[in-house]
Parts: sequence; C-alpha cells; structure tokens
Amino acid sequence: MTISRTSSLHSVIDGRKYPYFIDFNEFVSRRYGVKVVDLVKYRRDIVEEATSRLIYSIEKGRAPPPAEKMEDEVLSFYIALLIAVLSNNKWIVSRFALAEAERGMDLLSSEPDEVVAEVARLAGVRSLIYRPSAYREVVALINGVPSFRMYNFLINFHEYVVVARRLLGDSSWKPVNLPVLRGKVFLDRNRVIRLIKEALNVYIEERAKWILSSVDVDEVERVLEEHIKKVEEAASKRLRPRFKGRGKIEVPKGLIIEEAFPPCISHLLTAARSGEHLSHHERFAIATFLLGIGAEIDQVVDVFRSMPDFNEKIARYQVEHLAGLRGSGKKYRVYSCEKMRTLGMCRADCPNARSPIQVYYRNIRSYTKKRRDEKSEAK
Amino acid sequence: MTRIQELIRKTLVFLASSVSEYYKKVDVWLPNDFTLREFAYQPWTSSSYVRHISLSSYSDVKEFLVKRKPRHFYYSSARYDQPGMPDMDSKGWRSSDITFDIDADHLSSCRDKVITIKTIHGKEISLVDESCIRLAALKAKILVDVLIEEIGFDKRSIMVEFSGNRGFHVTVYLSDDDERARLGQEYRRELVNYIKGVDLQEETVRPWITLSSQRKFVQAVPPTVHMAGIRGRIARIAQQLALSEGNSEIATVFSERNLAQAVLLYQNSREEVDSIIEKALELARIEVDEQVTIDLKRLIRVPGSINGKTGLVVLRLTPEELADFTLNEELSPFKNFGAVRIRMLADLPNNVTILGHRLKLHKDERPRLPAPIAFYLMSRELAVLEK
Repeated sequence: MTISRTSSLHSVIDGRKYPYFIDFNEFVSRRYGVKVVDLVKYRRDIVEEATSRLIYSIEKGRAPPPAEKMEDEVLSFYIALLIAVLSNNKWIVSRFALAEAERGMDLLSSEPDEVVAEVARLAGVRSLIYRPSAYREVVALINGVPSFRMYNFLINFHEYVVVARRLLGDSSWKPVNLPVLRGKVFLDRNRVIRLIKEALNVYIEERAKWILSSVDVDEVERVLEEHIKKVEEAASKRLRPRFKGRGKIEVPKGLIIEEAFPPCISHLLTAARSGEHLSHHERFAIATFLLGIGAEIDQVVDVFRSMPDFNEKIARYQVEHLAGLRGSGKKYRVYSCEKMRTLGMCRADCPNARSPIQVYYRNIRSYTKKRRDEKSEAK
Repeated sequence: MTRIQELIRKTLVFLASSVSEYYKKVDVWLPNDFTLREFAYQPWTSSSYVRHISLSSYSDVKEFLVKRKPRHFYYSSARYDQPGMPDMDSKGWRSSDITFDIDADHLSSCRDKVITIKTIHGKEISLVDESCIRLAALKAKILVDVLIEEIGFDKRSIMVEFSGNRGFHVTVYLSDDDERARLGQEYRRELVNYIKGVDLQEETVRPWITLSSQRKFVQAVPPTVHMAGIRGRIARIAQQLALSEGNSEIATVFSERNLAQAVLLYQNSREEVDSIIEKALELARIEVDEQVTIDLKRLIRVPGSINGKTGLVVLRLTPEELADFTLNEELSPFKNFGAVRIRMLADLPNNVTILGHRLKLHKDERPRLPAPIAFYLMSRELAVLEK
C-alpha cells in the first residue's frame, strides 16, 4: 500500500478533493524533507485544522469542503486520521471515514464519468469499467419512439455483491433488479457514485489501519496528546443513544450500555466478573448476548477473565467460534427468553420479549427517553 | 434380537455386499484435486457418519469403496490444506466450489405432492410424485443456463447430477485460486437470492409501469432473449415454452430484434404472450436450497456412487439428458441382476410410483420383483430380502 500514487495521479484525480489517495509519508518527505512526527511538531496550524475537521465529523457526521491548497488538505486529512486512530476508539474512526466518504460522494457528482471510474478503481473497486452505452434496455415505446435506460458502467457480479453488501437490504440494489449478463452487472452513474461511497468508507478505514504502522507511534502520540483528548471529549458527548424519529433508537457502533442489560444478563455478568464458575449454557448466553449487541471479541473474552478455569487461548477460540469466525462459520444467536426460562436463567418477567437483546434495546429506549424528558423539564 | 430385526440386518448386509460388487466394476467420478478434499461415508449398518477421511489416489478410492461398501459416500465442496485432520480448524480451509441443490419436494408446486410412509422402525419416509422430479430437472436445466448466461460461469466448469433420490445437484467447479471460490457466505447468499428471484420488483419485469401515460402513448415491450438479467431469463424460458407447445409464431416475439415488430407482435396476441410470460416467470424463480449453497464446507454425494436411500446411482447428466429425464429402472446399477424376492414390511399407498411403476403392495406380501425395484424398496427399509 505504500507504492507512490502521487505522480501518476496529478493529471486525473485532484488530491485536494480525494486526499486519501495520496501517499502520506512520501508526500511529507518529498515536500518537506522531514518525517511525519517533525511536521506535526512544527505545523501546529495544520494540527488545529485537523482536530476541528475530526471534531466536525464527530458532531455533524460531515467533512468540511476541500482546502484551497492541496498540501493543507492532505495534511489535515491524514493528521485527523492519525488522531482518530490514536484515540483508540473505533467509533471515532468509522465516523470520520463515513464523513469523508460522504464528502467524496458529493464531490464525485460533479466529476466526469472517467474520473468517477478512476476514483472507483483507486478506492479498490477493481473490476469497475466505464464504457459508454455498455448496455441499454428498452423500457417502452413512447409515442412510437423507443425509450431506453442507459448503463455506462459495468462491474463483476461477485465484486458488486461484496461492495454493495450494505445496500442490498434495499431491493432496488439487489442484482435481480439490475441488468446482469455473463458475469457483469450494469450500473448507471448514480449507482456507481453511491457504490463508491461504500468503497471509500472501507478504503479510509483501511488507511487508518495502515497509518499506525507508518509512523513512530509513541512520539506522535506524545506530540498530539492534547488534541487526542479534545477529540475524545467531543466523542463522549456524542456517544450516547439517540432517538431517530418514530421511537427508533440509534446506538452508536461499539457502545455498550450495561445499565440497560436485562436482569438475567446483568446477573450472569456480575457472577462471571466475581469469578464464579458458570455453566456451559450460562457462558453461551452471556457471550452470544454480548456479540449480538456488537461487542468486540476482546471485550467478550475479558468478561471471562476472572473465571477459575480461564484460559485465554481456549476462551478466545470459543468466542470466535460463536461469532462465526471459526469452524463452520455459523454465527450463533442468543437464546430466546423462552429458552432462558427453560434453562432456569431467566430472572424477571419481561413482557412480550422474544430475546434478551430485544429487552436491552427496549431498556435503552426508555432510559434515553427518561433522560431526554428530565432534560427538557430542567429547562 | 427379534426375527424381523435379524431379517433387516441380513438385508442390509446383502445390500452392502451388492454395493461392494458394484464398486469393483465401476469407478466413481472425482474432481482432479480430490486429495485436497475431505471424504465421509455412512455404513449400511450404522446411522452415524464417519468423517475426516483423506484419500490420496484413485486406487485408494477404489479400495476404500470395495472394502467399506458405504451406504452413502461424500466428498467436500471445500479444499483443505490437510483434509484428514479431525477438526475443522486444523484442516486449513482454502476454497470451495459453489454447489446447488434442487429438491423436488421443495418446489412450490410440489409441496402437497409428498407422500409419507412409516417404516417398521417408525422412521418417516417421504416419497414425492415422480412428475415433480421432471419439474426439478427442468429447473436444474434453467439453473445451468442462468449460471452461464447471467452469472458468467464457464460452461465446462458446471456439472449436473441426479442425486439418486428426488433432486438434482449442480456444481460449479472453481479452481483453488479463483477469487469466487474464496469469498464468504455473503456472496453465496446473494447468488441464491438472485437465482431465486428474491425481492424481484414488478417494475423489473414490466419497466413501462413506471411511466405515466399522461398525454403519452406508451406501448409495452416484451422481454427478449437479447436482454440482460431476469428479463432475458424469462424470454429464453418463454421461447422454449412456446416452441414446445408448437407455437413458433409466439416464440418469435421473444427473439425479435426489431423493436417495432416485437411490440406489434406482442399487441396482436397480448393475452397468449402474457400467459406464457407468467409461466416463464414461475420457472425463472429457481427454488435452490439456500443452506446448501451458502455452506462453504458442504459434503456432496460423489457422482457415480450409490445413494443408499434408494439403491440408485448419483448420475451425471448433460443438459440434453436433463431435459428428457425420467425415473426408470435404467437408472439402477442392479438392472441386470434379474428378479429378487422380497417381503414387504409396510403397505405401499396406491398413489405411489416407484421408478415409473405403480405398484400395489401390502405388508407381508412376498413378491418377486425386478432388481431395481426390489433394491429400491429394501434400501428404503420398506422391504427385506426373502430367501
């Protein structure tokens, strides 16, 4: 991933608009002849710029428009990314990546088709090809004249379903509603641009993983300490469940609210942490619950750390197995409330609840609502 | 042991030795990379599977089959670094072929054509109407067409087999370094959704419905075989349906390149064409078993092996053979065995056909039957060998 892309890109892709395609280290050493850490020390203005860019993404979910000078843009993007990664909070990284991907999508809408295709390829959509009138399909004759739907892009079927996976819940994105021929899916410009947003999101998250390996982490962390703290504060304010209209609740990715756990799970959690010996079913229930609400493997393994028979290797293996990362690849679901009852683990009467996970989200909803009501009363 | 149990045991031993004889004479078919695959089998006299077997040469395979005389014999759709390792993780998964299973009793129009019989052990056996097998064969043929024309798989990499019971297996053999062979379940799930037509929108099939006809004269365009996606699929099927009904004029609607002409033909026989499109749409949705396709580590019956539920061979078929497929005695490896006397252990309902024969058989009858049917009934555990 460290191959230089700068030279070949200048002509087609504007690094000011899509800074992530520029190789950070090479850019810094070529322009300034110094290492990243030194640059961070001396260009405090850019670090400030980067911090507010990152905080803006945390608060608004958007990225500011491109800076006037390309170097400002590239530096502020990468330093923001660096701070996000150093905050050690995955939510901050994915929020930033999403905001930047969103901006990329907006900018693409005024680019020519060739540039759209090139950005797609740079973002890792390898099989996407721009070919004017690659496919056209007649919709009807209107006043005797054929009316066509035009498709100027094509992509391999299997790459399409991977890149579009998060869009496939919407039937209009399902390949069955698109023209598919000999292994290719035909797409129009709007869909390609939307698809690139997905790819950019993944691409920027990949850059985040890469960036740590490319700098002297300890030293950079020291220099950026204050800024990291500022960003973490901004995040903790935003990292709360929020209502998203019609009583739907949005829980930020990676956020786990123990206060909202149903009684059966809180009980098991306390027991596990205090080192009580839990049965197989109890361990299964707690692990599948935590995985089900989006906990990381590490977080789940940690819960079992105090158990008398704890063995890191075995515990990790088993949790990964439940998460569908091992063995048959099957992801295990949490026990239903009914099953919890038959196993004697249910500790409360949760009306109309199917599973402990449902109770969890229900609790978050009522407690967020309560807090919101209290807030408005206080005003 | 009761007398009947003893008879059943003797029958199973007899079937096992007949199977062994079969394997002495006939070779099963295996992909070239079979040494990277796991094998598994079930013996005639046990209900549990023996897994994690690794076989390293064709002669090993032969020797294994003659010696172990399996009732069911499988190989994995997956390739592993060490296929013989006893747990899935240490095997080291490399890649998997893509497999499809079309079962006659899962077809929406056949769900109510399944007859259940109880064996003497209380085991339930379901027999599906043999007309449904022909429908499943047709769907398998359409699936192969979709995999080639739409998904873009190489024709030579696709194989079809009659499963030996009530369905068809379609396998896309992918090389170990093909990226599609290494993609996870999500890709395969979407492939299944595509093939089944899950979430198919009305406007995909009839795109003109999105146009408002205000002050405009909108004329519908029929699907034609030149189109991509499901519209092309519908046209290809509809064309075949029209031809098989002897209606070549209607068939031309679906292949007409001249749009004005196609629209005109469509308008002139709208009702007839629409009814064929409707039938084609029903066939275009292929009810493959999702669980089979998304499973990256599926065990598949080895082509050329014997399916111990029926005593029939898992038979490789060309698309042409698929089109004419019917269940008959020719499918049995025991067709030259002569007649065999058996003793029925259950009543056979009179609406059941066995390999194309309608048989009236009652418990404790001792008929002499052609070997294919006798072996079928014994494999089903509906009859025992009578000395």
